[in-house]
Amino acid sequence: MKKKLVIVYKILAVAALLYLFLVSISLMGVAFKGFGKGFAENLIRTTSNPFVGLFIGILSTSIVQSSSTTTSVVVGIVGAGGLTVGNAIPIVMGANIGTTVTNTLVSLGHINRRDEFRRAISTATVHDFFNLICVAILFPLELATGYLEKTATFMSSIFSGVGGFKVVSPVMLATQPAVGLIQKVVILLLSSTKLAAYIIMAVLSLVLLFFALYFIVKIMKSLVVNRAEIVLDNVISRSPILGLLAGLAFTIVVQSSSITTSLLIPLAAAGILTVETAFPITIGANIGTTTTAIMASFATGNISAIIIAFAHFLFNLTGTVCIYPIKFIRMIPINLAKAFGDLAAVKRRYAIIYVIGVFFLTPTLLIIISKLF
Amino acid sequence: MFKNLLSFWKGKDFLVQVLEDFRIMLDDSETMFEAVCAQLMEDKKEPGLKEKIYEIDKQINNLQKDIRRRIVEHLSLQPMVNVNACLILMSVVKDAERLGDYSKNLYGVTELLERPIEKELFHEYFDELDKKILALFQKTKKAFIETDEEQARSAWQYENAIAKGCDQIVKRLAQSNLPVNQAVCFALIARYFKRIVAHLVNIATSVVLPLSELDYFDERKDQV
Repeated sequence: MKKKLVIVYKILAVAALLYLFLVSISLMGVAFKGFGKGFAENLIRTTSNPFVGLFIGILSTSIVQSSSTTTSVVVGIVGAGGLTVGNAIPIVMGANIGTTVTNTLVSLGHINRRDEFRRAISTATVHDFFNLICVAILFPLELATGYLEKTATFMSSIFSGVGGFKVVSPVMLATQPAVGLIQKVVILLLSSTKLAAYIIMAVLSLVLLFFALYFIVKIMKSLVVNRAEIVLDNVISRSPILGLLAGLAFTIVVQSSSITTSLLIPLAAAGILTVETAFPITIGANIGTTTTAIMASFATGNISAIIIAFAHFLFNLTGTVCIYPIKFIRMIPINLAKAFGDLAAVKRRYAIIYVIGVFFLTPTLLIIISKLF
Repeated sequence: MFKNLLSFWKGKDFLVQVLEDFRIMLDDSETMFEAVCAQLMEDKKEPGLKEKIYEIDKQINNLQKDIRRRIVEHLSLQPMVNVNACLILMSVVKDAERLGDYSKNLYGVTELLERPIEKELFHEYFDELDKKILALFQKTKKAFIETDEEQARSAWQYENAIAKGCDQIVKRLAQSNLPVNQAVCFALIARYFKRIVAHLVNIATSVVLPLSELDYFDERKDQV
């Protein structure tokens, strides 16, 4: 009985946090609109170079270690008109790469045991290599054809055409009273300077976003982890498609691909999972994580925000369709990860250099260089 | 597909499943022990016994691997839940696997014997130790699966009596004039009996011993 009550409390808490998450996205939109046209133009100018956008995505996600946070913020800003869809797509792609840092960091926990570490870092970096290959294929393709933007726009138009917006609008309506109240209180407290009020609102929205996502992930994990254990036990001995579906479902529920992929690392280190068996679970998680941005886009009620959320989903879906079905192509990230694992197990400093180089140093340097020239 | 998905979702809680598997390991090793003893002492030739013994031992080994895998999965997903139970299981699962190994070794003795054991002689030396060990199997299962502390403590008394009995048998054999083949086989049986009892008591006493003292039940006899 007590156990059931705890579950009910947790579900109620998640519902409240979900509401808070949607409020934070709406509030972010209000704040960014409040910054005015000049700010939006500046932001659009900064991210007009798609490479800068890509590296901003990598760096910001590596720092916050959550692609859901980055993409939700991007959706919020796009919804407020602070970013164009075209500029936001590279950021979202970068977020996909950046989010892989978490499980790579988790794998470093096994660094003192060579064989364990080889297995752990191979399983962690297969996610990195997969996303890097996806970006290597789809980023130029997007620059040349704009296929993601066009397809996502088409999808959103269908969505809105069949009355999707009417379905979505209650989300926005539900958040309006809370957003309005916060807005009124902040403006009342800082009546002298409106800009300061909007800055406070932007900061508050970010704090609320982090808080809500952090606790949604934590509570949902505690709610489903028992079942996840049983499912995982079944997945290991069954088909990769079930692995992909399990990764997808678990990530949709816990709203974090980092959680899903990081949980695989100790299992891989112990030799229970191989890179091959962990790979479909990982790419399932990659697709599953896009639901957070889709949810966030509903809170904005803005078509551009919905387009970018769909673009994120389509990017991961097309990446999976391009790489996973054909064995020869599928083996590329797997073999790269294994080769890197072998290398890192012998010279363990390479693992540290890799993490710092790929996720922090290279994007920072390239952002600085592109700003200078 | 739906059926597949449903079975994928269904399953038992970690501890329930692992304890069930562990019980099967104990049941299997008991079956092996009983069958080998019947062949050894009562000279009942069971057709295909060797294949049966080796098959059960393989099953025990697979269960050990399954339990270990599930423990790692569980601790990876929920590192703070059931930590003690996991560590105890990791230890006792090895004991259960050894029970299978020693029962298999006992079967090996039946193949070493040049002629059937004389019942009277065997009883003179072993005094129904096999029956006492079978009773200890029951006690151990009850103690561990049902966390029965009384049964766990009483397993200690059994161990004391049986282990001493086994040592005495070896001493007597060393001073006896039995044919070499018979003496060696008897000594091996006594040794394997003693090891089986020790592993059973390791499992039973894990219920009452602190984690750090597992397997050292003889040192903690008066304190627990």
